[in-house]
Amino acid sequence: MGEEVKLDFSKKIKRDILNILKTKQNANEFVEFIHFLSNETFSTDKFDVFAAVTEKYGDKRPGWFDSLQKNLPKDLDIKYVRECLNGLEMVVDGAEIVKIEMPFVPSNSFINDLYKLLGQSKTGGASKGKFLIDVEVNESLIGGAKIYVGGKYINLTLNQMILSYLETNDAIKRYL
Amino acid sequence: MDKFLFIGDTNVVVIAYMFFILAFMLLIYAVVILGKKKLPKGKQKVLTSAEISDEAYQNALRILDKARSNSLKILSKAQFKAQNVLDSTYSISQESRKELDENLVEIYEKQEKSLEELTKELMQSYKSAVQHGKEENIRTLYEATEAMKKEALSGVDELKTAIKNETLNVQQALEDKIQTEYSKVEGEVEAYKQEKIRNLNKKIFDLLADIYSQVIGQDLDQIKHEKLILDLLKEEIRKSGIEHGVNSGSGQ
Repeated sequence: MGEEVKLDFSKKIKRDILNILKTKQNANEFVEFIHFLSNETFSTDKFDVFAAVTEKYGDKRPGWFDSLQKNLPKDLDIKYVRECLNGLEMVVDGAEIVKIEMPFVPSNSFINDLYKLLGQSKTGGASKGKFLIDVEVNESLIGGAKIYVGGKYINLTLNQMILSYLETNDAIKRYL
Repeated sequence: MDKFLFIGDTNVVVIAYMFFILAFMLLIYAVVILGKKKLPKGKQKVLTSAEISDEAYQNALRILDKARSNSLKILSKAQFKAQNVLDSTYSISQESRKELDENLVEIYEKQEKSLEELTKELMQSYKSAVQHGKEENIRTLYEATEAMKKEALSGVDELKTAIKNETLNVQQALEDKIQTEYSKVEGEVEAYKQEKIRNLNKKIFDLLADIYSQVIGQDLDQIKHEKLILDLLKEEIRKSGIEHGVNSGSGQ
């Protein structure tokens, strides 16, 4: 494989890795995988990544791995892959964390839509796609969610929505 | 009584001695003057000076003897009279004493009367003086009292004016301060009232929100819930953008 192919892959995977991972939980899993891969491939030139993933996760392979596999060229020597993955770990470590509190574990579809929505916003790190979503389940929230991004707090709870509605319409004077 | 007797005796003796001296002077006169008259110029017998002197001397002796005898007679009479006086002294003394006592009583009574009158006059004068002095003192006291009263009233008026002015100033200052404090308290009460109203409204809103949330939350499945969150986020981004911190700090 030529050097240009390697360079393109490196740039592309660095650009897309956070979008592939999307959540802090996936990122932690990915970093753990990198460490695993480094240990398994230490002082060897031949290593089957897919076999190793299957060995580690079984049939429940992480979703991000499929995306990674699609972008990963074949016939890459293990040394290059290891170096490339170490570079990705640095990208993951430098990502901004957008925290969301919600009363249930969200679906992947919701995470994808949320990531896309936050990426479209003008928020500093998020606008550049260099962020990860940290999901925290808070069952005390009856409805809605709370988002902490870039040192800011967005209250998207049902309570807040209803309160805003009542205050906006001056409900006490009009109805009470 | 002895004094009277002594005076009476003295008078008799003096009279006797005066007769004796008078007789002696008459003797001298007779020797000198009558001796000359008995010698007429040229016609009378001329007597020698020794005869004349002897004759004069003899005449003088006779006169002197006569005077002596007269004076002795007078003395004896005086002595006799004095003796009589002495003899009657006692009776005189009794009478005199009685008279004297009476006189004394009379004098004493007169004196007493005089003294009494004098005392009365003095008392009257004293009373008059005292009365006068009293009236004078009363008048002076009255005048002094009036002056003091006037002065005191003047002082009281000044004091009243000063106190009135001071009271008015203090009252004004108090009114200003009370008004200021009242405004301040009124503002605080109004602020407190607004705060209470806000808190009350917030509690009402919270209560309503909880009720609505409970009601709405029961109807939300996960798909609807996820869609609701995404819609709310879109709305927030649309309204003001996340970079401006929409609803930042307004969360529960």
